[in-house]
Amino acid sequence: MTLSRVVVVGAGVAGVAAAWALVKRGVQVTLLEQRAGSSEFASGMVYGAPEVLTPAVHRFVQDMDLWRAWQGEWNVTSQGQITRSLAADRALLDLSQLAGKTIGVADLGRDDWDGELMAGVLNEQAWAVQTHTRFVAVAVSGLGSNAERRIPAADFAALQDEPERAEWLASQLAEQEKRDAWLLGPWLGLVEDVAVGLSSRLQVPVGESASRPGGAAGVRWSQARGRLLAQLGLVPELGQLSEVSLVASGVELSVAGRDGKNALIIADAAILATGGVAAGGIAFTGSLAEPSTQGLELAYRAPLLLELDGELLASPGSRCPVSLQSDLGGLERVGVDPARLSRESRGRLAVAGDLVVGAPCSIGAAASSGLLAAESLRLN
Amino acid sequence: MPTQGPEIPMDTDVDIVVIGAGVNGAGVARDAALRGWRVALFERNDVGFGASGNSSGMIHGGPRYLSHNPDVTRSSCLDSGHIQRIAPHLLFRIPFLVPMYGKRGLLSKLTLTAYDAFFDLYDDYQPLKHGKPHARLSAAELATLEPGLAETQGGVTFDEWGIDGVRLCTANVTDAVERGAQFFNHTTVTEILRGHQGRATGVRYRNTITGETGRISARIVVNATGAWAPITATLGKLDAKSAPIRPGKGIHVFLDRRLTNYAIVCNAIDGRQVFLMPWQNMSVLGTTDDDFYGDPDDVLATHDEVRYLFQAISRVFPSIAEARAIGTWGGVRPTLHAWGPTEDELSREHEIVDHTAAGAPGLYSMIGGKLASYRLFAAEMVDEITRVFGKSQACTSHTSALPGGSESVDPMALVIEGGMEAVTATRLEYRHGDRSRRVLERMQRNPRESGVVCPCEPVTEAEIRYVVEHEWAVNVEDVSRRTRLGLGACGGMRCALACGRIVAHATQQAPSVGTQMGLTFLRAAARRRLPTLGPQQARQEAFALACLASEVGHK
Repeated sequence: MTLSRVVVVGAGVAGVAAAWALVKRGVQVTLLEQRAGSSEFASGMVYGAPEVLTPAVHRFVQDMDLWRAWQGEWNVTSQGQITRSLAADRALLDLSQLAGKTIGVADLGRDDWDGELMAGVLNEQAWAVQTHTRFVAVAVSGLGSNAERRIPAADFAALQDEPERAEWLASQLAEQEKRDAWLLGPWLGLVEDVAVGLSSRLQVPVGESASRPGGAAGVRWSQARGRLLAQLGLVPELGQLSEVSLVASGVELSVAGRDGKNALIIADAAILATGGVAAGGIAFTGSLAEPSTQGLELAYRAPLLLELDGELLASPGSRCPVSLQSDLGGLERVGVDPARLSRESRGRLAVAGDLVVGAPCSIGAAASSGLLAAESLRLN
Repeated sequence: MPTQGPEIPMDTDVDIVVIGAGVNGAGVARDAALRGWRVALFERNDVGFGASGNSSGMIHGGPRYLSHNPDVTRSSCLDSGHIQRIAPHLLFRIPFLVPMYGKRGLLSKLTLTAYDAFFDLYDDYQPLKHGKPHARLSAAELATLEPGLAETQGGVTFDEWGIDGVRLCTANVTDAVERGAQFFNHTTVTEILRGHQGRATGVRYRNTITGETGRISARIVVNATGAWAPITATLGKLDAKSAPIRPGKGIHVFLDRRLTNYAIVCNAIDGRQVFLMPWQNMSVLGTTDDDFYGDPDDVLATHDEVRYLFQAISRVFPSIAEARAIGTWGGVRPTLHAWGPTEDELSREHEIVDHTAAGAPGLYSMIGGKLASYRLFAAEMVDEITRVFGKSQACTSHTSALPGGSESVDPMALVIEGGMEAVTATRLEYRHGDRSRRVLERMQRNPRESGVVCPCEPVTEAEIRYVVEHEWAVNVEDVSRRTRLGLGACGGMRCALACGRIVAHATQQAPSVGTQMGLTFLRAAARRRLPTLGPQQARQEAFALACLASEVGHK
């Protein structure tokens, strides 16, 4: 038996989910990555309809070992909004068990987190008003030096990974009047489960708000991904996909590496999960000549142009980093007429993530679509 | 001898109503308050909202006007000297370079000699404003001074002063108020009241934010509304043409850092002079001058205007192509009306229109003028009013210091005493002069306020609260105008929402109001930035805005 080989293009949530499913099936996987995409901008919150939680997604989530059970919770965004999510990074504070309680908003003196203003914003939120939950600003001395006031949030989070530091923070919080829970900014470690440690130490939930892009949650996602891929024995290869061709024996991918040289990868099948951000999928729709805000819409479109023998089959987006020049298959969901696909080309190519949705998709939808894409491939 | 003395009612709420808190209106309010008159100043948008805050940010002597209006050059230079004395903290030196291009030979030598002679003339005015005389430079010297310049045939330097127009207006308003004037910010005059024999007797007003209305009686009403002057005249049932201006739109593009040490002057495709100058902590590319027929409340740069400026400067400073433009500002000059001449040839002089001839005694319109000669213009206006009131009081606006300008403060002292970072202290001292100590005191009382909210400029929470409490800022745009918050490379993405919440907190409003203020600012800033962006940058901007909108729950 020859080992089937599948190339997964894109190592965001969708690509990693697909690779995970394929490796579990015993398929040999090559994971390609161009650069950080929208998954790296993670806020820590997981959105998505509860329906996405199939048993397969559930297993994937468990293996990722990053998020709490996907059962719905309430979290605080970086701007102090209280919103409902499907799940969240373990470091985030889940408010759903804290209705009616008094929550301390710890102000460590950071420039990006004014406890009093944040508590004011939170107390104004519909959820807080309806549930009679109160947020109280508490000044806590938590900075090691004056410079720590303004270093980026992710750098400050990294400092809390040091055991002595987390210990000190715990003792500072323990000294305060007892609260039902503690909310901090997105600083609770990049590697260690600082929030979990603080919670068990203080016997009350301690957690952070969601991160802004480039914050701690995005780094934690990368870390968790790295751990999972290491378990799967995968190392993402750097390169930019320029062309995909379906050939009799499978799929040919032309990939430009970091050195600028084009390499040809031949595989049995491929999954395209190139995402929105990395593939330049944020559309600028306005006219430059006429100043208006209209042009500044975030409008992900699948940046994929599908051609069959020179004829345009589907163009969900305006950009075309990928062109298909031969028989193709498995692309119904991006508007390709299945009748045009030859029998042998079906199940050779699938798409996942933002490409399928044609819009920024939630982590839930991305994971689910990655698994579906992996399932749709027909491998020997 | 007072001409209208007997007719002027005495039992009015104030002596003078001034409409418009640009530099002219603020200057008149201050000068009149200095002379002991009771003043009420009205501003429809915000201090320095129009041409004053959107000018090139120079109190230059105007060598450009030397050939058309040498008197403008002289009065500008003289008054530039006065402004240095009353507000030394607000000025910064901008040395200019005029590089020469063309083929090496007799022609370029002759042109250079002509330039030399021209600036010899200008040198006569330089001592009035403590400027340095010009110098003629060889190509090699020029290349050493500004290595980024395309190969030149030599050139000349001359000396100018930069200023933050909004800070100048704010200082004048502050001084007026401290001397007893009343200031109504964000308050539009809805009617200029007319009484017996058509005399202007006061105004009706409405606060554009709270909707509060009222009326105030006055002996004299001054229309100092710049580009809005004709509209303001109609509020007194006068013909718009009675305050005749020829509005000229000028735009500037600003870039994220100081690209050069010297300001560089060059010719645009139509032969007009444009410049790239280091200004505060960024570079400013300007300016255009085109007849304007739009709404002065909403002046936006267009993509065409931006390209016109970039096209001009890229011929002499090619690496501008790699620089990052982060925004534009647009203003409308209230130039004196004339039919026929091109925009650049229009007179930059100023003029006081006495509406007595139009049947409205007691109403005056201030037309034209320049930032550099605002004080002189204001003094002339108040001299006239004083004469009408039958008094004679000498003007002291050029000898008494503006707020912040009485003593010099060493920014390093602020660093040592307040634990501020050096850049924060330097910028704070620039904007507030000796009043930066008051901001420092706030920080010492409440260390939380020493937090840097806008890291680009940088602006601390204490300064935001200070401008809300003492400088009539009521929203993020106002704070930005006074402190330059949110005008750096991040375009306010990092600070606008936080600033909004601080403003809301300081004005006892709900935090959601503050969030909304922040978003309003960001949308307006994005609109001003858009003409400078390429598709790639616009995409990044779209992403950043969408992220922020989702964080505050706006889908």
